[in-house]
Amino acid sequence: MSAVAAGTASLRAQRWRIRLAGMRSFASRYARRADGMVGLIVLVLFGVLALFPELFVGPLETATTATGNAFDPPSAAHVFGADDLGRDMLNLTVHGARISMTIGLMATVITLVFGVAIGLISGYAGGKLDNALMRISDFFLVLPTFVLALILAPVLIDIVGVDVQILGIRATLMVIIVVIGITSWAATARIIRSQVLSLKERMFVDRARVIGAGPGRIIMGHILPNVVNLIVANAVLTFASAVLTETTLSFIGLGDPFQPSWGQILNSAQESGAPGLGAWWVIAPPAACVVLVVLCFTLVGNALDDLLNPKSQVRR
Amino acid sequence: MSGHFLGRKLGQAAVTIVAIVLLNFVLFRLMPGSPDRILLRNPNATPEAIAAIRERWGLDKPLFPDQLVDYIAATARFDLGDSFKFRGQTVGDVILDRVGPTVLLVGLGELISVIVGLAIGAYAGWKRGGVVDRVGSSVSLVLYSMPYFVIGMPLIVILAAGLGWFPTSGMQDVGAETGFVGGLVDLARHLALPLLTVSLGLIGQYSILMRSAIIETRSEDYITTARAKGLPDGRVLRRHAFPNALLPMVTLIAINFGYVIAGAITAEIVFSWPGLGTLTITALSARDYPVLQGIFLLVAISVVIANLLADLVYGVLDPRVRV
Amino acid sequence: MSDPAMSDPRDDAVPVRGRRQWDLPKQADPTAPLLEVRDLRTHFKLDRGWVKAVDGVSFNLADGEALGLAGESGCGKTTTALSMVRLLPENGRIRKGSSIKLFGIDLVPKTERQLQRYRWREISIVFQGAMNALNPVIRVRDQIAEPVRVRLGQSETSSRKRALELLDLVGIPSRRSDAYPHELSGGMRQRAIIAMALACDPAIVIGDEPTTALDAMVQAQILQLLEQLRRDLGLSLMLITHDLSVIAETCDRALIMYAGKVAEEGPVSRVFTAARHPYTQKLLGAFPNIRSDRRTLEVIPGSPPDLLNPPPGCRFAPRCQYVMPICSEVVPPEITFDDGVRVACHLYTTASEGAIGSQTTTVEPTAATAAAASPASRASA
Repeated sequence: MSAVAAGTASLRAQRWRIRLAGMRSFASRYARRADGMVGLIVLVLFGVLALFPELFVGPLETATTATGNAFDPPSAAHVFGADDLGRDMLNLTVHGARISMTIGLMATVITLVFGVAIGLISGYAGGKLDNALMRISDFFLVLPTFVLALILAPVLIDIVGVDVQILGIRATLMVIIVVIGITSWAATARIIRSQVLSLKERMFVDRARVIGAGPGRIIMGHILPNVVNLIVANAVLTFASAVLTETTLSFIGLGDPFQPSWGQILNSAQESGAPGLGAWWVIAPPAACVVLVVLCFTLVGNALDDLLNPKSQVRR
Repeated sequence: MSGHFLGRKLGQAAVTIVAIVLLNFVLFRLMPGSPDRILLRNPNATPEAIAAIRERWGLDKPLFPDQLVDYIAATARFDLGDSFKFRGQTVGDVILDRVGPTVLLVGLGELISVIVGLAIGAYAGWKRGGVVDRVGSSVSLVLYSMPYFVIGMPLIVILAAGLGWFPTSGMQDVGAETGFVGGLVDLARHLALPLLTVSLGLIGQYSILMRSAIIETRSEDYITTARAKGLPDGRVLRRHAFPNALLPMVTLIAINFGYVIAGAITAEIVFSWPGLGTLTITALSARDYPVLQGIFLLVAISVVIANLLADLVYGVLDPRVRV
Repeated sequence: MSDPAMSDPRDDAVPVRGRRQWDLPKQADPTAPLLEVRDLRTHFKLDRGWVKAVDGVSFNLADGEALGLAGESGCGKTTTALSMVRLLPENGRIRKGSSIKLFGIDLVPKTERQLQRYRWREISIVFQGAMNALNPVIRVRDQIAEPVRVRLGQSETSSRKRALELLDLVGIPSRRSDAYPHELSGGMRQRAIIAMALACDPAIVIGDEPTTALDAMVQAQILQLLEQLRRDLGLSLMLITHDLSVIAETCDRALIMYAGKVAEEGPVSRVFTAARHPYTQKLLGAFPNIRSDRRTLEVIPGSPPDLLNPPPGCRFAPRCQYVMPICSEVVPPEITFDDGVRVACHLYTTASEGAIGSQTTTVEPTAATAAAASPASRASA
């Protein structure tokens, strides 16, 4: 090993030590936020449910494998009762966690990839490109994106066809994921862009530019690491709104009955007339899960935002 | 207010509306498989009917410029085509039938929640850490995490199905009294729960936003000046903090308008309220694209107008914009 | 901790209390001095402890007198002034044992409600007008009339009339009275703020950096206006600034603060020509010219101490060129000389017991004192 390489390696090791120390201090500051910790714990529990639903309640029940009778109220056999098809509500709700959270996660990834890329490019390039991109994002911010999603989703479903699966996810849900991504990247792009603008002016970017780094290198090596904090905080809040949007779209009838998310379960409940019949047990479990997950993501997101977002730190 | 400011805002609004119209066009003509698969995907259509639609929309002509020009011209005349589902009715007629109830629901909901939400948020932010703030903020955060239909469904289960205080659905009882007062009472009973749903959802949002606006305003120098003047605390809040905190709220409320309509759509579904929301569901399950397009256009334009109004109101409230 | 043997109120102070238009507060003692501050300690609570922003400050303000508070930013001068009417951030507390006596009434134990009676009617503040001290969405005229109407219970018409008179008094033409703050220039805004401070005919006006952020010409005009108002209305002024030339021009006495404590206090003519405290000397030395940039103050090496854990002994010791072993162990007591200057420095405590009342230029750093004093005398000329 050459001396230079050894030096680089030790430099790298040192950088990691610094990073590790930073993470540790961040973790201890986060641990002092009671609301953030409660949110985190609840989300971890839901994460476990979503990863291994079969472990807790067995395979997803369908109309043919239903174990109860229509609208069975809660009992020892069916702790949460049964829906109009006699499916066990506990079973449905736990499997719903997997579907809702998978959709939420994938929609968040798409939103972030688009939002961060456009925010970075727009903020770094400036000039006409920036102007054009921000006009487009303005348009998407003003646009009633949810109503756009309402027409976009069926059009895409009609084009793709219903009985296709992509990555084990049915086309309908894939469409919902894409639609959420298309309609919600703009806010992320705005936040990232404004942070890039202020970073761009700082010394170290200039120094990197002088040394001869290309724009790609400056963005990836110098700007991106400095907006990671912001991206993390934004991701958690985006997840919350993605789960909300998914639930609403599914409730309106754009979900997939074969892979029922919480919104889809509520849609079936609504269509079977459960509210008017007073069958609260068909509504309460999925509804409570949606509220709990969104609330906890918001709590975690706010806590992260307070700790990581330079702007909210100033306010404190 | 200067003509320049007004002109620029009007220009922006016009550009946005044109973009929305173009989006509508692109979505239904340029997508792979469209228009045949989408525009003509009418399960009940006979070959003659399809030919008639092709003829009417000029689908046999080239996309550009003929179809585009025709489309824009027709949209400008508010000619949005015929509904697939509601035979013999134009999209305009179908939508116009359903606009009233939604306007009633959204309008009253906005009114109530702006008043209540801003008041709660302002007080909570002013007395940060106090009882109202603690309780109000937690409740608001929970409401904020609930889609409107998740607020509405328990209301039906408890207040309508359980206690029987309110009807579970619709806008009128069949064969209800026809007198003016009797009709109004009947309407109010039906309206109560959907309105409560929409208002609760919005109050959560508005009070959270107003709270942070007030907290931001509270640290401004002119608030210190007002306190230095020995003014009673309530006067400092009402006369000095509130009007300034209101400024960002005007814009936020307008931007939020699209989401309110989205929320109202789901609330309408829960309560079978005969407005645009239930129409959306019907159109969606029948894949009645012309109607869906029409609803999208209407909602988009009203959001643009709401933003324009917000800019005007902002100009009235903030003397700095008037120069 | 300090037992200030304060200088007597000046003999030549004009008895201006008779000019008051409004009644004194009920509990007021008509014979008491206007303002007596004793051992004021204002601290700010943080997660890690208390920041001792003001820690044992005492001073007097006589009728018609102008007192200048100076020091680097963060030395506690603004906190001292704002403590008079308790306009502190939420985490700010005036600690027990402090007393702020206005007409003999102690304001420290008053509740927030009771204290409102004294705000603006007795002690008003001319804030820095840079932009935000005026409410951007209310007409300037209405902001001036507001305290007249709300605090003095005047009618809408007469309070508005009073506002117009005040605008006239500070030299804003009546045709501009409809203006919103953003429509006025910086100088005009500062005048409007002065007019607002005069609205209730207060006993004391505090000027919090009233000329900072104004250009030199306007700055001179505003100072002239303050000076003239003081003469005509018999105002008692407390002027906070880090611009020593402003104090030299407008004030009778100067109070130099360092790290939350009084370093030196006395008549402007003495403090500026024969500075005793090493900090005052540095301050004056770092300020060579009346027209120079204020930032030259930062020439003093080092930075003020962390007030969360202030150093034991003299807080200036780490930066002081005359530092002695005792300085970092014992808090220097305040010594009053017979020319009315009060100093907290160990240079004078050694010779002190006998030195009170002795000549002023006894102690060692004479050369430095003389060098530092000369530019200041230029400034005050």
